[in-house]
Amino acid sequence: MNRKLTSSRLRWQFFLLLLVLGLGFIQAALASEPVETRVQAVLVWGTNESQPSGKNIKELDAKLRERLANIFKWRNYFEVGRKTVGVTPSKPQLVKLSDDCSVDIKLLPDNQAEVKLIGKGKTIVTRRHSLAKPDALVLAGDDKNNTAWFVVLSFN
Amino acid sequence: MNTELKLQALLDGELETREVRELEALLAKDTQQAALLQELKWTKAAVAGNDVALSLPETRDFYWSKIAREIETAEKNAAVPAERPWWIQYFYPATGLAAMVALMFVISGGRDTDGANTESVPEDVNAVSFRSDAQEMSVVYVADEQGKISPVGQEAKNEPETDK
Amino acid sequence: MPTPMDHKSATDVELVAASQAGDMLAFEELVARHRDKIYARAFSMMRNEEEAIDLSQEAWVKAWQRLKQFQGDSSFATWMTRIVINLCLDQLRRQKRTRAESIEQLDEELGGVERQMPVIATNPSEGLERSELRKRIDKAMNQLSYEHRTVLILHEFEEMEYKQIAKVMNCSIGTVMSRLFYARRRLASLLQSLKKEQQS
Repeated sequence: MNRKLTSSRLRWQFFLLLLVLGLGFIQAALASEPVETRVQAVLVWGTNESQPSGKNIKELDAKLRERLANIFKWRNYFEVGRKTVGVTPSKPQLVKLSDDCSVDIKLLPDNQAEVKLIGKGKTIVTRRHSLAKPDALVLAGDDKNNTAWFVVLSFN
Repeated sequence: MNTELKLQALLDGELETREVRELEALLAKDTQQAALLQELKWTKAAVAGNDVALSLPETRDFYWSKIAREIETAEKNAAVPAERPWWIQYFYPATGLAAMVALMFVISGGRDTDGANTESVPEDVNAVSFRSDAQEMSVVYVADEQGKISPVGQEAKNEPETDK
Repeated sequence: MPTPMDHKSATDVELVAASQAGDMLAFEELVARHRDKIYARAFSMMRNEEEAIDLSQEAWVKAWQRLKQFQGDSSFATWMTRIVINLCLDQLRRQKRTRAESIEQLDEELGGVERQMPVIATNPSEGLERSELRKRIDKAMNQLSYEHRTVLILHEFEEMEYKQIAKVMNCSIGTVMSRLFYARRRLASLLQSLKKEQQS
């Protein structure tokens, strides 16, 4: 009888060990899979003109419009381009927003992203942005005739 | 406008077409006015292209050194600027700004930090960075009054390309 | 690594762009190129060498401070000239408040004097060498009041229209026309007198 009990205990210990090892392997496997960050990039033009007649220009969504209007002085904001991409540490993305504009997005360790705004082939701004906060990153600047451009990057 | 001033306006090309015709009709009959117009023409022709041509009576280096010194003095005296910083003009009325802006840095041709956030711009670029708590937005704004850096193409704005 | 700019061979447009980006050497080159013209304009208005030097210098300092406002709508030289003209006008207005007016100048302001001048019968500049003509015009301009001299300078040399002059001089178009008319008639009379002096 004792011999039977002992072999049963051993069997349970063996299965328990297998379970622990199995869980360990699964966890390791999951950890090595890259976590993708969805990045949405929107190119916006800010102006006091109410009806610009440019091509491929449309009304900006109300929520983003309100956020920009609460910071900047222009009355109207129009969407020129929008793209969403998935970025992983091993797979940076170059997002083309217009003929003259690209955004290079790279994920860095310590929950950071490096973003380069490239205009007409030249890097205009290089920004290291913390992903710890839910902030959108806005790269912006002057444009002709008292207007402005904005590249709004949201990280999810 | 009296007739004499109309004669002058005719000479200077500042008269309405209708009045030109009326005046020309008058000149055909009034020799005194015609003589006055002739005098004005002579004077205009005499003055044309005969602006005073002078050389500055100081050497290049001396003249420039005074200008450079004045510029330097003016820039030093602008420690408390009379105007608001250049970047203020882009933002919503200042009454709301203090509530919105948590942190602000000015960058010029180098790196600046905002805790975990850093940015750099080329030497010839002037930019300011800040964070809006209320809108949960971190902003980097590039100064470029000529709009040369803009990524928004002419087509989107429906503006003709201008010759530079 | 970008090639350093050769300021001497750069165009004004390139120098202005470089100056706007903070390149003092580029701005110095602009000063060297246009200093004579700016000084000459200041002198033509002030008729005083020291004042003209001071005001032209002040114009260059202001230009440096306002460079970012220069949009390229006109040439840099034209833009600079406008700055020095405005500075000279400000100075002349300040001086007018303290300077005693001659009776003749008061007559000029009130108007009507030009009607008393007989119309000249012959061209007062006919047969004159350019350098001699320039000297006589300069001498004649010196005898005008600053308002009449300025309106003549702005119209004849800066090629401004009546309404542009009115804006710069902060007066009505009618006043611009009256002053210009008087200035021309007075100039004709003075040139004629100089011609007679020469002949006798």
